[in-house]
Amino acid sequence: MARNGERVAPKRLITLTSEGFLLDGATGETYTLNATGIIIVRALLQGQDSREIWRDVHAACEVAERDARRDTDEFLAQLRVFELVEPAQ
Amino acid sequence: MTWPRTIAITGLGARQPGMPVVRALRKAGYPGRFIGLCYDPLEPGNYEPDMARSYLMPYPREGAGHYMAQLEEIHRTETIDVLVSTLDSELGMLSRSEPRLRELGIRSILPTPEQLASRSKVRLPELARRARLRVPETRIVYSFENAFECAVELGYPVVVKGQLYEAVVVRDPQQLDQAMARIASGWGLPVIVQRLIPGIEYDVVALGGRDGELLGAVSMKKLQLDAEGKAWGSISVADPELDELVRRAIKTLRWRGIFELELMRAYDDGKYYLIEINPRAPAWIYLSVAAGQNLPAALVHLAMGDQVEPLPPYTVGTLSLRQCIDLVCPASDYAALVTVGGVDKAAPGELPLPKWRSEP
Repeated sequence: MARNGERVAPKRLITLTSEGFLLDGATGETYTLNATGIIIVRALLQGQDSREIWRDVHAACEVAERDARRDTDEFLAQLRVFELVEPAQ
Repeated sequence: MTWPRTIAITGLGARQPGMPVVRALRKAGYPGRFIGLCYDPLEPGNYEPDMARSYLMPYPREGAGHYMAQLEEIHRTETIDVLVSTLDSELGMLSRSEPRLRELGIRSILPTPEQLASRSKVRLPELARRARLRVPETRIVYSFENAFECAVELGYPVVVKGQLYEAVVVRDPQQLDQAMARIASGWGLPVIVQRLIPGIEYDVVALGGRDGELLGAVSMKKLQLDAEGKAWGSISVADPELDELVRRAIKTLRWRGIFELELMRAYDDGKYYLIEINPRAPAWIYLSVAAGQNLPAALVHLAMGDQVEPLPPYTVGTLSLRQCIDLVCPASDYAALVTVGGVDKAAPGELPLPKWRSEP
């Protein structure tokens, strides 16, 4: 789980299209993201921390703050499992 | 940069690197002609419209004498400026014949016999130790009995490999027996028995300059495999860890020319294991060109004596998917190749070809 306000960064060679196609340029693995995933990864690419990200999700998806925070944390945890993010410097 | 007038090229089979190298050189603007050197008249590259002429060569196992005699005869007619070899099976013989090639005025960039030997499958573990590269546990076996002992020691499944070509995954003694029989009869002894590393396959193609300096390297992940486990589809990637492995390999080998590292990224520890080093361009070489590093063109310029600078960064995420087409030609082309030893598409063959239509 991401600690509130924790900052993680996508790996250097991550590419995201507006349609949600994500390429990990280091491994060649590809992923397709839904609209929420796109919001989160785009926010990561802009350097936002986890608090800013779940607030974006809350605003964009019209869900309760608690749900936005839980879903964001779970998604960030998944990104860690796939080694798509690393602790920000 | 200087282009030669005539390049002789080998490896014209459907899954061999010859035609991808031809395509790469045309992409770079090579204006000259290609002469094909084949071992089998059914290698389709012989009949490519871009192949000015093809010649049947004696197999390297028949000895350098036969091969070089045929090459010298072709050279008298064609004046070969550069020879690009793309097959493991001929490289040893050509490498030993390099002084003679030079005397003839045929330029080439070939690894030395010592370099070739040091990256052989048999000596890969020793090289890996020197270059600090991980390799799967490997045993070199000289008998069936020895193979069975080693497979038990390593634990099934294991990979059984020939010295030059072929690799078979075997899961029990019966499969090992069959694989040993096939590989030992095809490629001789010793045979390599290696622990299987389950994982994802990555390859790197790289070019070493005259003094073994790294001039370019492109990494890819295999997306599709053919029945023999060769790359059929791939995507260019860039992992600093792969770059480091290439640097260590070339520093140890001081390699001249193009070579390919085959690696497995293990599922369990995520680390790269070196499976093989191939001493020539791979059949997927065109991916490196599409991604931004034309290694075959740089190789030819090196052969011409040009000063070749390190190649620019390449594009990550370039996809390569192989497509098969049927190459057609009149039987007279084939007839010319198997009878007089060469097919010249500029001069139509003399074989009269009748026309026929089935009656409705």
